[in-house]
Amino acid sequence: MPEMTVWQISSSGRMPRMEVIVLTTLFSVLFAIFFLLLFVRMRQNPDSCADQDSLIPFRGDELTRPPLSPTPGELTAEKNLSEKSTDE
Amino acid sequence: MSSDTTTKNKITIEFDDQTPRWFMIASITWGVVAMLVGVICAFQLNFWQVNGHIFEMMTSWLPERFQFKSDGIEYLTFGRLRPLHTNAAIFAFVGNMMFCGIYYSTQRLCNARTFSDVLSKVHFWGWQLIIVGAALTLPAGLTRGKEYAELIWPLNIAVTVIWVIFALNFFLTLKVRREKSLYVALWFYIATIVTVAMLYIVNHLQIPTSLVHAYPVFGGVQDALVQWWYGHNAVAFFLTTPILGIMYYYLPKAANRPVYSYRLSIVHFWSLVFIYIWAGPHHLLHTALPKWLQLLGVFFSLMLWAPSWGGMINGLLTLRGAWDKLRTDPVIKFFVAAITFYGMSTFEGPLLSIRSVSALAHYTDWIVGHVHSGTLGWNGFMAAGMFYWLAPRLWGKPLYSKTLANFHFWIGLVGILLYVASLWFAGVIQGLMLNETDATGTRLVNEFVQTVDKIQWLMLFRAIGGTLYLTGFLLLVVNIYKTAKSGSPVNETREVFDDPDMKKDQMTWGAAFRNDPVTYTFWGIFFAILWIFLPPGASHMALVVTLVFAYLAVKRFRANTATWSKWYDDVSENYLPFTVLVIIAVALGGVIQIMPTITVNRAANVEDRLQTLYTPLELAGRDLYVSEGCYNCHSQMIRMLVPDVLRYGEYSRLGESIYDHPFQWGSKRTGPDLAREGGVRGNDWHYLHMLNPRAINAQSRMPNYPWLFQKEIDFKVLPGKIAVQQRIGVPYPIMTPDEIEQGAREQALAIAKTLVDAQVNIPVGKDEKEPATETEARDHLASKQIVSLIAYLQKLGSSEPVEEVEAAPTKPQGIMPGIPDELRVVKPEVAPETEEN
Repeated sequence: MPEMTVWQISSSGRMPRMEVIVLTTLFSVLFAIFFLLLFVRMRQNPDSCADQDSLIPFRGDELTRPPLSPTPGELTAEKNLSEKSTDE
Repeated sequence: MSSDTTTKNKITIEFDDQTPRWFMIASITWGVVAMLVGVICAFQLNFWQVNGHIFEMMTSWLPERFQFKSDGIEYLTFGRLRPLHTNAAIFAFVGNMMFCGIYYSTQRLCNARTFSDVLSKVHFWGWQLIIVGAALTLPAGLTRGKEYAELIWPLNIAVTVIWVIFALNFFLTLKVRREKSLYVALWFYIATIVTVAMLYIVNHLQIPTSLVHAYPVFGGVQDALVQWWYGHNAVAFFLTTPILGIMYYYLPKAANRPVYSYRLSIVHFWSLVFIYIWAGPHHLLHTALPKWLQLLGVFFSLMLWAPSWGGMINGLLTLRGAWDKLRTDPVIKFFVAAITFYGMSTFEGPLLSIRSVSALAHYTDWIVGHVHSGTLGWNGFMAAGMFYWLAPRLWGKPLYSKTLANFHFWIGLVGILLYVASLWFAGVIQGLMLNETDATGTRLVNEFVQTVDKIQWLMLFRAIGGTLYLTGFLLLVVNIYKTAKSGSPVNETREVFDDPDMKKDQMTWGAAFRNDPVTYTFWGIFFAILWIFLPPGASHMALVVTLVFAYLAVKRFRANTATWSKWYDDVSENYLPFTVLVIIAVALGGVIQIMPTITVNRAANVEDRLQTLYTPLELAGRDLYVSEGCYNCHSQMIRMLVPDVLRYGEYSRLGESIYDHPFQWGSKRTGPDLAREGGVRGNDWHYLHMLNPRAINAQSRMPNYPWLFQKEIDFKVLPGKIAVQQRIGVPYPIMTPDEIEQGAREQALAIAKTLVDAQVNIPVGKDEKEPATETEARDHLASKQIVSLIAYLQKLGSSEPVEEVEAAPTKPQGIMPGIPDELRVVKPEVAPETEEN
C-alpha cells in the first residue's frame, strides 16, 4: 500500500505547508498590479471612443444630457413616472 | 456620433416590452417557489419530520380514516427537493430575471425592437415548460445526479433548443441595431449566451437507457472535472456575467449617470471571462484530481479576485455624486447592497480556494453560506432592484409603495445576514470539530453526528434567515402586483434615425485577428501554457519567453496606444468578431483542463486501485442512490487529509471511481462520507437505517425511506442499462439479458436471506400479504428496492490492486504525464507513526 501524503490541519499538528499560499498570493497580487496599471493607463488614453459609449444607455433620455434622437414616447413615460407613490 | 443626416430616415419604433413583462412575472412567481422550497429544505435539516412525516403528525388528531399514515413522502425528501430548489433558483428565478433584463435593455442599447416577436414568445413559453418539466420530474426522483445539471435528457434537449432560439433572436437583434457600438452590457450578454451553450452541451453528453434515464459519457475523475467546470461556470456565466450586464445598464439608468469608468469595464470584462472558466477545479481540492489541475484552479481563482473587484468598484463608483439617493431610492439601495454582496462573495470565493482554507471549509456549511451570499445578496437583490425600477416603466405608473420596498430591503438584508453568518459559524465549527484529534494526533475525538448536533441551533437561525428573506420577497410580489394593477401594460416608443449607411459590422476577419493586440496576447498565453505544462527546465524557458512577450507587448502598447485602442473600438462595433474573440477566450481554459482528462489512457491512470465492476443488482441500487439524491448529503471522496483518512479510511484513488457514471464525489457532507462504506456494517444495519435512521442513532436528521420497502426492483431494464454502460466504456463481460436478470435475482435473494436470518421487521403494503414462512419473507424482500440499495452500499470502496502501477517508482501517476504530483509522494515525516514517536 502506498503511504499517504497528508495535510495536517488539526490543533495537534503542524502548520500547513505554505508554498501554495505564497505562490498564489504572489501570482494574484502581481495580476492585480498589472490589472490596475492597465486600467490607469487606459484612463489616460484620450483617443478611445470608450467614454462616448458609456452614454449609450442614455440615448433618448431627456434627463441627463441632450438626447441624440428625440424620444416623445420616453418623455410621456417619464412624466407619468414623476407622479408620487401612494405612500408619499 | 456625427453622420450624414441626408441619408437618415426618421422613424418611430415601438419596443417589445411584453416579453420582459412576462419574464418578470415568471421570475417573481418561480422566485417564490424556489425560496419556499429552500425554506422547507432548511427546516428539513433541523427537523427530519419535515421530510413528509409531519403530515402524519398534523393529521393525528383527525378521525382514523382521515389520518395520513406514512413515515415519509418520497416526493418531499431533502435529497429530491434540494435539486428542485437549486434548479428553480438558478434557472427559473434568475434565468427569467436575466431574460427580462436582457430583452428590455438590449432593445434600448441597440435602438431596435427585438428581431422576432415569435422567437421571443417561443423562448418564453419554452422556458416555462422546461421549468414545469423540472418541477414535475425532480421530486419524482428523475435526475441525472449531477449538481445543477439534474434535469433528464429530454429536458436537456429542450433547454438546448430554447437557448439556441434565444441566441438567434439576440444576435439577429444585434445585427439590425441602429447603434454602432456594442455597449458593455451587451458584451456580458454575448459571453453568457456562448459560454452557457458550450458548458451545457459538454456536461450533458449522455446516452439514454430510457425516456427518463441516461448515463453520462464521462465517468469518475473525468466526470468530476467536467461537472465542476460546468458547475462553477454556471455560477460564473449564468449567475454572474448576465447580472453584471444588467448592472452596467440598470445601475447607470437608476443613478442617472454613466458608468464610472467605461475603460475599466473593458478590462473587467475580458479578464473576467478569460479567468473565470479556469477556476472549476477548486471544487475538487485534496481529492483524487491530479494536483496540477487543482493548482491551476487555485491560481485562477485567486486571480479572479482582481477583475471581480474591478467590476464592484466600477459599480459602486458609478454612484459618485448620487449617494444621497441611497437614502431615498429603494432601487439604489438594492443595487448597492447587491454589488457589495458581489464584492464580498467574490472575495470569499478565492479565499475558500486556498487549499488550506478549503481543507477546513469544503463539505461544510461555509460553502453553502458562500453560495447564498451570492444568490440571495447579489442575484436576489439585483433582481429586486431591477424589478422595482422596471415595473413603473412597464406598466406606466409609479411604484405602488416605496415604504413597502424599503421594508423589503431591510427584512431581506437581515435575512441574508442571519443566514450567511449562521452558516459561517456552522461551517467553521463543524470543520474544526471534524478535524479535532487527541493529543497524539492519531485519533479523532468527535463522531460525525456530534458535529451535526453541535451546529443545530445555527441551522435553525439559517432557516429563520431564509424565512425572513422569503417574507421580504413576498412584499415585492404585493408591490409589483399593485403597481401593475394601478397601471396598464406600456410599450415604449422612440423616434430614431434609421441610417442604412451606418458603418457597423464591416470589419474584415483579417483586420479583427491579424494585428498586434491579438498576436501578442496569443503568443503570451501560448508560452504561459507551455510554462504550466512543460517539464522543469523547459518550463522555466517558457516562463522567460512569456515575460519577454509581456514586456514587448507593454512596450508596443505604449508606443502604439492609439492603434491598439482603435482596434478595440472597431471590434466593439462588430458583433461577430467580438463574439468569436469571446468564444476563444472562454474555450481556452476549458480545453486545456478537460482535453487531457478526456484523451488520456484511463487504464494507466488509476493509481494503485481499480474499481470492481458493479453487478447488475448493484447498478440498480446505484441508480436508486442517484435518484434519491443521496449525493446531496453524502460524499464519496476521502480527501488526502489526516482527518478524512482517520475517519473514513485510506484516501480515494483515481481508479476507484473510474466506472462511476455519474461520479458521486459530492460537495457537501450533511452526513458522513460513504466511499468505503461497503462491508463496514451488516445488511440488517443498512435495512434498519433506511427504514428508520433514529433507530440506529437518535440524533440523525436523515429522512425515513419507507417506500424503498414497498417498491419493486425493475429487473427487466437492467440488460439495457448494462448495454449502455458497455458503450460508455465500462468493461462488462458479454452477458445475455437472461444472465443479467438471473444474476441480479440471485444476488437479491442472497441479501434477502441475510435479512430474514437477522429477523428484520418487514413492512407490508396495504395490498400485500404478510409473509407466512421464511421463504416467503425472503422472496418478498428480494423483490424490493431496498435490497438493491443495500447491495450497492455494500459494494462501495470495493477495488482490486493494480500491480503494474504499484510497482512503479514515484513517477507521476496523475493524468498529465510530466507533471510532478507531490501529493502522491511518500512523506514519512508526517505519517501517524512518526507523530506517535
